[in-house]
Amino acid sequence: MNLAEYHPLFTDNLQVVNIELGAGCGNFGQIYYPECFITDMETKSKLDEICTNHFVTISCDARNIPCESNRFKNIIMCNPYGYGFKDRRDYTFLNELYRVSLNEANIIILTSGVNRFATPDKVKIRIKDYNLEHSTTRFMFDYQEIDSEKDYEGYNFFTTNRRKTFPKFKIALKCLKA
Amino acid sequence: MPESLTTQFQTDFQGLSLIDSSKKPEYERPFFNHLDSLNKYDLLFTKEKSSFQKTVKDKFSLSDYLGLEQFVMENTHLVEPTEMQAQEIDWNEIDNAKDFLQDKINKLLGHEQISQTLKPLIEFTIDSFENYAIYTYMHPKSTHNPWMSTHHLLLSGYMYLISDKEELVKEFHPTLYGQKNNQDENVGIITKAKKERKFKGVILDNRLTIQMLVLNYLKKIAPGYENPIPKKRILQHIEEKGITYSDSSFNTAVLLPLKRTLLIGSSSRGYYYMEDNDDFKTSYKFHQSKYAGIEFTMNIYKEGAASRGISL
Ligand SMILES: C[S@@+](CC[C@H](N)C(=O)[O-])C[C@H]1O[C@@H](n2cnc3c(N)ncnc32)[C@H](O)[C@@H]1O
Repeated sequence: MNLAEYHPLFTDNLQVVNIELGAGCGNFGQIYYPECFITDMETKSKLDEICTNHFVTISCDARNIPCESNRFKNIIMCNPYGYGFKDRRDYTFLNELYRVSLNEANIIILTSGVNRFATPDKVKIRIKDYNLEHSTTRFMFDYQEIDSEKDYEGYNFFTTNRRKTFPKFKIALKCLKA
Repeated sequence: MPESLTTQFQTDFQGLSLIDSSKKPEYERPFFNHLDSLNKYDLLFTKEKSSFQKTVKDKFSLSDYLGLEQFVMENTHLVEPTEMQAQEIDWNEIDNAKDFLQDKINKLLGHEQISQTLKPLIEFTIDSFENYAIYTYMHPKSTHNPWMSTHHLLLSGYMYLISDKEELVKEFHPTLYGQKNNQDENVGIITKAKKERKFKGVILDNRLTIQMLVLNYLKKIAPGYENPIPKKRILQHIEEKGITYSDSSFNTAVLLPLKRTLLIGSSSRGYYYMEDNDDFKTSYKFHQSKYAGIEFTMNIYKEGAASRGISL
């Protein structure tokens, strides 16, 4: 991707260093990590159709974010589905996360134990393989159980067909770029 | 996790071969069974919570499909017996089985495996297996696994793809969208057999939306076994909304899947929404009497076969 393809909001608002990926109709990032870009792969007109309200200002694929490298301090994903850590040896997404992260950036993933795109066990295995592949620790992995109804009281998470979902884990990756 | 499951997958895949040519009657029903089984969760959930308003114009898309997938995995308690706790999933073992399947598919496809066109089809087939495996790990003895029918299709030698991307579907089957009955139908199901670049397919009609509409309709105007309504009236209601179904396809596409959710019951007077145990028992007795009738006929056949010296 060259400079001309970067999204103007990313290039014009350099003070904003947080981004939510795959936000759908939500704005978790804006609430818990303000100032935050809210993005999703769906077009804004499609989201206008699906959501009663949405906050997406940039439509982009999480695996190909139209911004310069070393850009974000916090990268947030809630219930990634349709993108993530599904397959062994597919490092497209991890490479992109690594590219856009600042040194010591946090990647926060809220997920369930049965989400084949991002269950903690799977992400842990992918990170281990990825680090081995690069013979260095590019990401550190940690996770904890959460009670999303209590921890994020009043905030609703949704599946891609607008059914409520309740993430059970918070994964925290730290990106190391020394 | 039972070791036998991993070995089972590997043994299954070892013997895998692609079918010579796809046959619509072989793949159509399993796909619709698969989608009906996914939708069952949504219908049951609708019963638990307030209903989702659906209109016939609601298109079923791949996002809906993925959403259903996530919803099913997170809510198996809606369908699985309550005493059956979901078991641990061994993600590493599933990765191993996926690798094994991928290798086998590569071998079966020969040089075709490098085709960019086939990539999404291969990926969808392996993803479906992954879902089958996840569900099987959680509920090893389940008869409700919605991916059971797609898994059997794989084992019968089919590879497949469900997509709402018209351009992609056209790459496999340029004329499939010409078979649409109605503008709102936008999901194509593609199958691949052994022959190179030979694909067959079917378009998904909006049966999943209609199932929800009919359920909501019966809930409103036919609550309980004392208030059944005849099929003709349900069909009229659907027709008023601009959808026409032949009597027999309405049975298989809408009524049968709804009956199998145990949310609607039937009697000789028609269909009704099951509200309590009496409704349940009445419908059970009605089906039992039909079953007894069929059993009686079967016995006559068996006797006839014996007296004619035919082995069945
Ligand atoms: C399960 S929904 C979660 C929505 C929201 N984060 C929540 O928790 O309520 C998954 C979202 O990921 C989006 N998505 C799917 N594939 C994507 C991709 N490759 N890049 C970015 N977003 C994607 C979908 O459009 C959908 O909005």
